[in-house]
Amino acid sequence: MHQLPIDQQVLLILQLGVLLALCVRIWVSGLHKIYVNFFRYLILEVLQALIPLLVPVESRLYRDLFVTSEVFIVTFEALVVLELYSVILRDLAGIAKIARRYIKITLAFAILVSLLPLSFEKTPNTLTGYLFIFERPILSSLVVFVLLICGFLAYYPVPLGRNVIVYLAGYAVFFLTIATMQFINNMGYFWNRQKSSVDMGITVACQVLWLLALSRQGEEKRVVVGHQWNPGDDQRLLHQLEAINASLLRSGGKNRTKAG
Amino acid sequence: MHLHLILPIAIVLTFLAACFGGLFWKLASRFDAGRCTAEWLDGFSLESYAPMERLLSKDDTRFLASQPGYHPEIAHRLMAERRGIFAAYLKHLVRDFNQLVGIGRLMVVYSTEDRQEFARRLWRQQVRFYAEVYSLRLQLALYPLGWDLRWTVADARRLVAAVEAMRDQVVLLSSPDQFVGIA
Repeated sequence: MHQLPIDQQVLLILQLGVLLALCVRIWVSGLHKIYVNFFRYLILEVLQALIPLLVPVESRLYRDLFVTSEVFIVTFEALVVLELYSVILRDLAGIAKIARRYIKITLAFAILVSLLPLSFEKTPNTLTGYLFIFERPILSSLVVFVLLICGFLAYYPVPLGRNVIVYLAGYAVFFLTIATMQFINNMGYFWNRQKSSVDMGITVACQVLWLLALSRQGEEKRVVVGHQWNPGDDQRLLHQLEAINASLLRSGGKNRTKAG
Repeated sequence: MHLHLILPIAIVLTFLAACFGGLFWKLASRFDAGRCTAEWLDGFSLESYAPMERLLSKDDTRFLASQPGYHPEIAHRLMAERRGIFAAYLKHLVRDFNQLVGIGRLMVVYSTEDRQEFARRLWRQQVRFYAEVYSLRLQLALYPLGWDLRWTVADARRLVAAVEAMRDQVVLLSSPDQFVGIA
């Protein structure tokens, strides 16, 4: 730990504290049963944050531990996004097929877009370099994927809990920052200290957002009306939908009578 | 190193951040349940759009031209006012169409059965409708440059028919016990 610059030491301690608090909060609120992969991802982040505290940063062991943990973390970052999407669309039979199709197309598109900047990136000559070369397209495709998920949700009035909005906002900022930092790194700019500090700062900010905003109550699915979440809207909307349906059935009957 | 790439990266980042910002804003305000009511649907009628067909017709200007004391400026002013009224009707038509699309989307999302086909039709009709709306607006804007509005009337008729088709589709989608609970 003493080999890290002082600002990064502070950020690391802060990150560890926030991560532990977030894990406890998610466990206590029971959200770990809904967002299983997100909880596992947080545990992995805690373990990775512990590495610089226990192993000298310049050592080969640190590099190996970092690379191994990073591979797991990136895998779980992808799983976390897919998990969120499946939580959002659970129990919505009306758009199940169209959502599946949308995911397939979106994934293909996101991967294609994220591979495009590869030509600007330098061929790596270290193990961590190779890791970052593989990591950047994955993170970029997650950015594009999250963006397209938001587009889908903006188009269809899928009922969303506040937690989902908080997760999406966090992921958007988080993935966008990390992917950009990776890309800058892969192009051959080695402002490692500044890059790591920005990286850690944004990561901690996102984790603080999740810590403050995620809750059991945030899981209740609500339809958003005019930039505010109103608890009475669920039932009101259901009554409204039934009334609309009845009105349509009436006018459908009228049309059929006219046609007959 | 690619120093020249710093600016494009900044532009792409800003663009992505703006996209996210816009989408989150849309997510937070995407549905106004207060406007999608059965009362609105009961009161909805396409008859109010009948004047759209007459507004841009040449008959009135021809009649004016046959009157004593006629001056081309009078016809120009009349057509300018009528284009304004036509544009207001168009705005209303778009609002009604959006309302119907909103109801259609709600029915798709809360349906107990898979509505993939309907969702697809809804999307296609939307694309076609907006393309025609923009084409109409362009025609209205080009009128002072000598564009003939004969086709505009036919296009307006097609737009009203598109709204009617959308309404019929939404009616076809309705069925007893249609919706699942929300929470």
